[in-house]
Amino acid sequence: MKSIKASKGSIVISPSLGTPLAGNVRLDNKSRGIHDDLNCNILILHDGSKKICLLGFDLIGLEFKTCNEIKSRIEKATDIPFGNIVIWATHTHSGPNTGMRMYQGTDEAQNVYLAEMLTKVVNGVIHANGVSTDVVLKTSKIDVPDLSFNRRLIHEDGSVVMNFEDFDPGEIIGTTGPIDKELITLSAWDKNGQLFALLVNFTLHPAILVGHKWLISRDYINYLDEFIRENYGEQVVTLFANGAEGNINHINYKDPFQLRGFEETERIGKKLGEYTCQSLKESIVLDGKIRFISEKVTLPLRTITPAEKEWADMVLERDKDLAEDLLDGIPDKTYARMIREMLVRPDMECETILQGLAIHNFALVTFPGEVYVEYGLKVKDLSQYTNTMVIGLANSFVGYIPKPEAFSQGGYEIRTAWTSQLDHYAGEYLVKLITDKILNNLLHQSVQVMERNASDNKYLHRDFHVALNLLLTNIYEHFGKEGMTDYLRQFSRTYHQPLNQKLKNGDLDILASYFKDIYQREEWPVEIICEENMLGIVQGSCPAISHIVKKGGSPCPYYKETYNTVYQALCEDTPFEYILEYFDDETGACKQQFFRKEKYI
Amino acid sequence: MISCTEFIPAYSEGFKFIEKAGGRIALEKFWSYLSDLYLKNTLEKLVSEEGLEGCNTYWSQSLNEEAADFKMILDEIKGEFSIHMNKCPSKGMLNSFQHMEPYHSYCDHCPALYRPILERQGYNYVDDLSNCANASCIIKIKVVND
Repeated sequence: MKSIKASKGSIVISPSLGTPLAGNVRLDNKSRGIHDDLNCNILILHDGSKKICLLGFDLIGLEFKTCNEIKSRIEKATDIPFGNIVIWATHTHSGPNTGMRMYQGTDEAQNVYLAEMLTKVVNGVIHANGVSTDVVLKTSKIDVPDLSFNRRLIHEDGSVVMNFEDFDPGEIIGTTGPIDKELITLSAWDKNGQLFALLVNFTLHPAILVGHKWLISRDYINYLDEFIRENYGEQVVTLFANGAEGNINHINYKDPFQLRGFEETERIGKKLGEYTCQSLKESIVLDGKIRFISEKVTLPLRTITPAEKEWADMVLERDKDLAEDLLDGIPDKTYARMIREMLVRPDMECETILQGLAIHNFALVTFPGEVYVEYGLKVKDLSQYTNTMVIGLANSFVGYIPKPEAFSQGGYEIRTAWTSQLDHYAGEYLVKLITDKILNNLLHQSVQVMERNASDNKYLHRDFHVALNLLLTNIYEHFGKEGMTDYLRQFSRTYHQPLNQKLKNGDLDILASYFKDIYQREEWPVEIICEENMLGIVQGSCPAISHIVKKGGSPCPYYKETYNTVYQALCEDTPFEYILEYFDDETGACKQQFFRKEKYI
Repeated sequence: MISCTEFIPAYSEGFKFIEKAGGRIALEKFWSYLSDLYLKNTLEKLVSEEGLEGCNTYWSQSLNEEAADFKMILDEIKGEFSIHMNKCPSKGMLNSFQHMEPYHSYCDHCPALYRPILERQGYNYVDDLSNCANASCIIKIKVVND
C-alpha cells in the first residue's frame, strides 16, 4: 500500500477582548468574552512526491488577499508550495471581523488581529510540518437528515421568505430547494490504529449564535470537536469544513420549540458528533497517490442597476442621521453604503482560486464563497469519486453564489452587497469551471488508460538479461556447472534447430545474417568478419553483461558458456566448428570464430 | 550470447530443465527466488512508493519494451489496476515457433512471480488465464478493504 505521512496542528486564534465581531452590523460590536476558543486547525499530507496543507479557520471568512498572504508566508518558511495550500473558513458568525468590506470603522482592530493571527498560524504550520507520522487514510459518508434546512421558504402567496424572518408557519407551502444530507469524513489513523486527525465536511451555516451575548465561539463546531475528542482521544485534531451552505441553516420553521443559543449549538454539535463517530466505524481505506490541482480563475461581477443606485441614494439621504446598527440582520443604510462603494470599485472581475484533491475514491473540491446547496449537489453528481467533499468559503470570500432564479424570487442572499457581488450566473459558470478545470483534471490523474499494438514498439527489453542471469545462477547453484551446460545445450539444440539445419548445408552466410540481426536488435556495436570459410565476431563488451552490471548485479559463474556451449551445440553435425578465442569474464569482450572444418573445405 | 530478444525460448527451456531435474517444486522455488530477487527492487519498490500507480509504472515500461498488444487501465477511483493482454509477447512468441514446444504450464510463472509481491503490499491479485493458450489473459490488482 502507498504510504502517506501526515502532520497536524491546532492554533488558537481567538481575538483579544474588545475586538469587533463579524456576522452582524452593530454599533456596539466589540466582543465581551470567549465562550470557546476559535482555532486554525492544520493537516498536512505527504505522499512522497507532493505535500498538501489543509487549513480550516474558525472565522466568518477570509479575503483572497489574506489567504494569499498566509500561503506566501508558509511557502517562504517551509517546503510547502503556495499552490498546495488549501484555506477555508468554517463561517462561524461569532468570530472577529477579518477585513470584510461590509463592516465599517474597524480597520485598526482588524489589522491588529489579522497581523497577530497570521504570525501565529504560519508559526503553527512551521512547527507542525517539522513532525510527521505514517498514517492510513480512510473515508466515510453518512446521511444526516434532521439537522439542516433550506432557509428559503415558499409562502402561499408565491413569495419567498427566509426562515429567520417573521411569518405564519401555516402559510408556508414548502422550500425553494433541497438540503445536502451528506456528512463526509477523511480520517488519518496512525500505525497503532489510533485516530490521528480528521476532516469533517457538512453543509450547515454555523449561525446559531450570531454573536450571542457578544461572545466568541466556534458555534456548533465546538461541540462536534469535543464529542470527537471524548470518543477518540485528546490527540485528535479535527478540521471542520463547511459545504455549500449558502441557503442552508439550522432553523426548522415547523418546530416552534426549537432551542436557541448555546443549548442549540450543543444539541446540533453533539448530534453531528454522533453521526461522525457512527460513520467512522464504516470507513474504507484509501490507497494511492494524492492527486491535486489548483487553478486561478476570475469570476464576473454583478452590474449595479440604475434602480439599485437610485434606491441607495434615496436611503442614504433618508437615513443620513441614523447609525448602521441592528442587533440581528443588515440595515438598509449598510446595503445602500455598500452599493455606493461597489459603484466605484476599481476591480472589474473577482479573482479566486479553485482547488481539488483526490485519493483513491475520495475527492474534495473548493468553492470560493457561500454557494447555494444546489450547486454543491450538482458538483457531487458530476464527480466520479464515491465520496466528494464540497468545501465552501475556500481561498477567498466572494460572498453568496445563488441560483439565477433566486434573483427574481427575492430573499436575503441575492441583495447586492459586498457579500453578494457576483453576476447572477456566476454559480453556473463556477460549476462549469470546477467540472472542466478541477474534476476532469483529477479524473485524468486518477484514471489512466494505455493501449498498444505490438507494432507500436520495437522489441527490446534489456531487463531480460538480468532474468536470464538469475535463471543461470539458480541452475548453477542447484545443479552445478554440468547442469548449467546441460541446460544451455538443451536450449541451443531446441531453439537453434532451424539454424542448425541450414548450417548443415554448409552456408556460412546464413550464420552471418543471424548474428547481424541479433546484434542489430540488441542495438549493440560489433565487428563481423565474413570470409569464405570463416566467420569472425568481435565485440568490445557483451550487451548482457553490460546490462547486468548496470543493474547492480554480476554475471553468474561461467557466463561465457552462453557463448561457448550454445554455439558449439549450434555447430553439432554441421561442417563448422566454433572457437571462443578469448572472453573477458568481467566485460564479455570476446572474439568468436566459426571455421569450416578442414574436410569440408 | 543469448540475446534478450531470445530470452523467452531460453526461459521456457529453463522451466523444462528445472522441472525435469528437480520436479515441479524446484521450479516453484525458482519462481519464488526470481520474484524475490528480480522484482523486489523493481515492482515491489514501485508499489510501496506509488501504490497502484507503481503497477502502472512497472508494466508500462516492460510491456512497451516487450512490444505487447495490450490495454492497461489504472483506475484509482475503483482501486484497481488491470492488464487486458490481447497478445502476450512471451506466449505469442512461443506459440509462433513451429520447431519447439513451450513449457506445458508456461503461463503459471506470471502469478507465481507477481502474486506474492502484490499480496505482501496489501493488494489482491486476480487473473483469468482461461485463454492463455491463445496468448491472451487478464490480470487485475485490487486494493483490499478492511
